[in-house]
Amino acid sequence: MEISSTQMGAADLTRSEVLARLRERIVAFAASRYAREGAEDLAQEVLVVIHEKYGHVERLEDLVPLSLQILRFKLFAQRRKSVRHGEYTQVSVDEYPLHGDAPDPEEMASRKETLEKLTKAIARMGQRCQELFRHKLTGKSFPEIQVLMGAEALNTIYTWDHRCRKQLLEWMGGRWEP
Amino acid sequence: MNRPEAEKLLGGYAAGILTEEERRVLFSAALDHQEIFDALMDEEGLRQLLADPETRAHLLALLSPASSLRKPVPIWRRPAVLGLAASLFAIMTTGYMVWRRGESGVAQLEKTAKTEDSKLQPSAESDQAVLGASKSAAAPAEVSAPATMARSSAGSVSPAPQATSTPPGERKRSEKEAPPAPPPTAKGEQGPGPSEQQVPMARAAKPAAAPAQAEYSTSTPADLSEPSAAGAPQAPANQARALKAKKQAPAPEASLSYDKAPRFQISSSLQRLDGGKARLTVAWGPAGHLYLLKRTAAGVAVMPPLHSASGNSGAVTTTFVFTLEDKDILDLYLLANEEANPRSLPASGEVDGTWKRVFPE
Repeated sequence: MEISSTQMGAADLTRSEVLARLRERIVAFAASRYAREGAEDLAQEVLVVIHEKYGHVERLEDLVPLSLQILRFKLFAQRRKSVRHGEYTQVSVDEYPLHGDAPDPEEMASRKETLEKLTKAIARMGQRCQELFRHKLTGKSFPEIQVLMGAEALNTIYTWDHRCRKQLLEWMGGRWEP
Repeated sequence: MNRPEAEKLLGGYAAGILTEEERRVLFSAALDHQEIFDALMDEEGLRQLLADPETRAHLLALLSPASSLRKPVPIWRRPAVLGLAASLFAIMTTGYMVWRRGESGVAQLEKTAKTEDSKLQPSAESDQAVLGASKSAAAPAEVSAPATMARSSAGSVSPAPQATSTPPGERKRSEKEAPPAPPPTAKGEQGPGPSEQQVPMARAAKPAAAPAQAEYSTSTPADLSEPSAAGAPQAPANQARALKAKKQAPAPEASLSYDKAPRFQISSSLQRLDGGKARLTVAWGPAGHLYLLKRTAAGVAVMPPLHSASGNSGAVTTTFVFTLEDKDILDLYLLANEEANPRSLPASGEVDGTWKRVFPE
């Protein structure tokens, strides 16, 4: 894959421009996956966190993953809040435990289930995909993997990884999370 | 950068192996394309999962070269091959067992038939020896043994165990539970006397031998003269003989041997007494039902036995005492099966067993 500066249209954006685009993407994402009326508030909450706690982060390649992570936390928090408020299930206030520092049992169960599904899906993968996945887990970059696997071009590794990931996602049911 | 090219970098994002340049390209594409942004959000879950050191170690162990996942499964350990092999083995084993069972069954039948053929070739001397043994055993048995014969209402006599203390109910039970008797000994030999088990066993063998008798009635008129002391195994032997007789024409020697083979032995002695009475002593056995008919001008009468006794040789001695005139006719029948109406037994021809005219001789 040839990466040139002309292809990186968004790379030269300023912080405010990046945040504006991020807000746009977050609203669209939340509106498509969750409630449209809450999408604006969700995007606003993410941007507030970035503005207040991560004001020093300027680069696009840092701001985007940061926003993704915060958005995920906010989505989890919103789900917990809706459960606590009894929007979907009425739970007695006296019986519902207070939020502690321990990992969320629901998140733990979800992670465990994902890991089990991932283990089974990896076991079904072909030898090349397994080797590629193993190199990725050891922290090898794509150029390093290219050398290790003897591929002639980096694009070959990209293509292999793309196909393997697609197959893995399919075997996991189309989603990484349950 | 177009969207498909950026999507190829998604796999590296979750694993955290993207270079700075690749990250910049991917995130720029995410800001430009909503689909890539959504895909990145979906990858966020996997990224967090893989960011956990324990999870990463677990997956690495799973994918390590020493792991069973990495080893190609040998062809003989693949489930499909194993299932196919197991099915083939089951089919072959079942087929072999069925084939062997059929073959051994036929072989056993033929072997039994041969054994029976060799046994059923008695000489005339052996027949006489059996008869003589019956006669000699009759006299002391008559004196010593009490009347231990089971007497039917029609006047027939059939062998019964010597143990008179056994109740009739228990005797019937023992007859049902009794195992089949061993095959008979040679004709010249005198086997042991009818013990408590042997006599019921001989009786229990009768129904099994009945179909075989029907098979032989066409070719061997005197087939009922073969020994009857064989147990239940006689039935397959007879079936085998029937098969053999159907397959190949019976040899003349075989027919003769069947004719000579004594199934029911019977001998009698008539003694005139005072007052127009007569005493008939019959030595018979080792199985069957004995009937004595007196044919007079007034009709046919079934003579009841006075007493019976079992000898050590297996023969049974029965004594009849009755009035006898010169015009009367005495017929003695020894039948394979109990006859409901003995008066209807023919005065000539064949019967289901053997018969003889005692008087006039």
